[in-house]
Amino acid sequence: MKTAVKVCIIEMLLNVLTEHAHCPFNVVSGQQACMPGGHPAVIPIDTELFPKEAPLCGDVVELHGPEGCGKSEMLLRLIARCILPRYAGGLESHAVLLDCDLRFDFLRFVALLEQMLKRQAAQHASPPLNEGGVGDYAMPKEPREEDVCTCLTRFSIASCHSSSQLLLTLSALEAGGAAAFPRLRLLAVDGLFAFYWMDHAPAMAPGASQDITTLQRCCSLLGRLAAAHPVVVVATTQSLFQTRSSGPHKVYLCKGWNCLVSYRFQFERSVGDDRQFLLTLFHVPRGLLYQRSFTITAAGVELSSVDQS
Amino acid sequence: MVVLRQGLCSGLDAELVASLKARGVTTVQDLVCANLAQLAIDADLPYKRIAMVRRVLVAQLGAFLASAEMAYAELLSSTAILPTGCTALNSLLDCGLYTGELTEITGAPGTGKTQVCACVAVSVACDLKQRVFYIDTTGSLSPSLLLCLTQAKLTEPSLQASALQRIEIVKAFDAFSVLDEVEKFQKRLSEPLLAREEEVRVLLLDSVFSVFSPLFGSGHADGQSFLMHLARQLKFLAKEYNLAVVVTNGVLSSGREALGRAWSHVPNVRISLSMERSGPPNKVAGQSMEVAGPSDEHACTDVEIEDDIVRSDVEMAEMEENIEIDATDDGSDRHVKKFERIETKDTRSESGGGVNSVGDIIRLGGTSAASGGDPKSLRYAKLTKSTRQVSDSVFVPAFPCGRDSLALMVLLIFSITANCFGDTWLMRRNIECLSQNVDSKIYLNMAIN
Repeated sequence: MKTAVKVCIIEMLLNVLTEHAHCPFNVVSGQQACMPGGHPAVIPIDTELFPKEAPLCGDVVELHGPEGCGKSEMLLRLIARCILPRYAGGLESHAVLLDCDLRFDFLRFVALLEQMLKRQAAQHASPPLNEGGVGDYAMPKEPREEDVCTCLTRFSIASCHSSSQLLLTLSALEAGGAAAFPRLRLLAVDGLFAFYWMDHAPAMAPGASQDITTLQRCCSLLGRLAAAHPVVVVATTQSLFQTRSSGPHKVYLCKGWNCLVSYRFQFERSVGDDRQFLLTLFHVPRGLLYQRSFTITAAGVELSSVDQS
Repeated sequence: MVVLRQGLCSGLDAELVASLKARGVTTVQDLVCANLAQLAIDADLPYKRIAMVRRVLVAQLGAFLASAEMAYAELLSSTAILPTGCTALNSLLDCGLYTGELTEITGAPGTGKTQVCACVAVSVACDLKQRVFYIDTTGSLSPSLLLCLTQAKLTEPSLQASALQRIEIVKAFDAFSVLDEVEKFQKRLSEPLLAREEEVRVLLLDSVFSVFSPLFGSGHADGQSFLMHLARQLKFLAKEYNLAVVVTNGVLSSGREALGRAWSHVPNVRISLSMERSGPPNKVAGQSMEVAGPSDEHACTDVEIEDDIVRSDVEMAEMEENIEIDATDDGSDRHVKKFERIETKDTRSESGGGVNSVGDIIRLGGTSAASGGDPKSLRYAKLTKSTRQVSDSVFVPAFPCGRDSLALMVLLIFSITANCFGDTWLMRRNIECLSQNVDSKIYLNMAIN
């Protein structure tokens, strides 16, 4: 009994010590480190999309909208920006994607990576620092396959088939994520409410009742992950019900999630034009930040200039 | 919700389960979210043991985080692109149907969804020599149609027979049997390959709307969750076993696809078929309902869906025979009209409008496929076909002669009287369901019920 208690106390102490050891020793570059003392640092994933000095470590970004409005495409863009090498305009850091609605289009993602490498490599004409080609200072016109493979080594995917599996995967990340992915900067969840209806009435399990707590636990776990590690959490959420009011409406599916979100992107189709989409950005304390339109091309999302509403 | 029980993982025995249950930890989720140190103290159990059990459960039941490089290599080696049997459709879909994806074909009744499915089935069975699993919920797939399409591709009867043997058709007329069939199919696929030479490549479900729309009523939430279960099963099958899953759906009166918002997030690709009116509207029974005009010889199709099917005069003659057979069989001239459409299409000259005469391209996610596409983009297309106009309020097919009209009149009277007493919306749903079915026996049964 006493030894068990001693073991517990020692484990708790170890946990406490290792928790505080996460942040300050993960120095990637001056910009990306979390300063000791808890001062949040900026993770410049997408300077075009986010306002200046955003998003910060521990921010939770939501991409919300009906289907077919470009949410997953925007998510692919953010992931690509995270894993691309620095000469191509990326963060050269690790990204993790949890695919809950099984709609992740890998071929499209690789095509997007190639386009971004080609385009940005032409713009940033500087010698490659990390590729290790001996004496090779000329920028290749076509992205080499090795470049794409190197980017893909910084990316991990998991497909979740139920909300309990999502919860377990998140807890595995929480427990061992910092060790497994030391340069993790982006945690993306595609289709956070994909299991909403399945949990509402789990018709397949005999005798099972409604399972509304698992989703709330997932949301709180995401919050803990965002707070503990220097990551930005990005999640796409589907609009499952018809909205009655426009504006920064509350997501009524999960209150826990509502409290976590710092930046909410609202997607919708442009009225009258099939190829344009509208994007509205809300920041939770400050309210509406901007509204702009974008189109989707082979090279990804093309944002128009900012139009303050 | 996974309940903790003995034997779920290696370190979990009955004693541990009981002591955890006494502390309120009954499911795996509870264990994962609990404070282990506190739990160990409360339950008087070694902390290491509980931590180890938790780690094993998380590793066993959680999803595996794979490196994208390996996943991509595996995807490249296992993905296949299946031609649909129609060149215009292939070019719209960037060479064809991709395995691992769920493709949805939506459209009002009579726009040719079953035709497209039959075309895909025959193309995969004849050209690719791969097996097809077809779940028919409306009874509208006729074997003579498949035979006709096969005969257009292959000339030898033995080859035709072996091609048709690769298409497995299963009839399921309610939502529960559909799910049952899908689960049985999954069990078969998960068995090791013993004597199977050919793999199943396509799963066609025609149509999901007809079996699930009756479930959306007062019990709205249960129907929705049941549909999501099926959707998840289909997507899992597509990803895990490298199938191309094709599902047909109906449309609402507003033109949007049916089955709600939750379902609209499920498919990867959506093909929307619509019709353009080509004949004058008819007035029927005092209500201003636009019923399908007669199929006219100068009906032109904007997209040549059947251009690959019909080739020679010999086939034309055979099809005329089939027209006779179908007309006497069940009195419905719906098939007749379809074959007539193919016939008139072939006899008139090629329309002057360019190669890619698609009406409009609606893009939902991914890039524009306007220029013929980049092979790795997601795309949605709208194909227009001008045969008949169906009214918005009540979907009623053309008035044929024979038993069907009697059944239809009975049903109309029934629905009008029930309208006064019952749920108008529910009636509309039933009529919409009916309009998807061609078989007159089903009409009579529904009228009686």
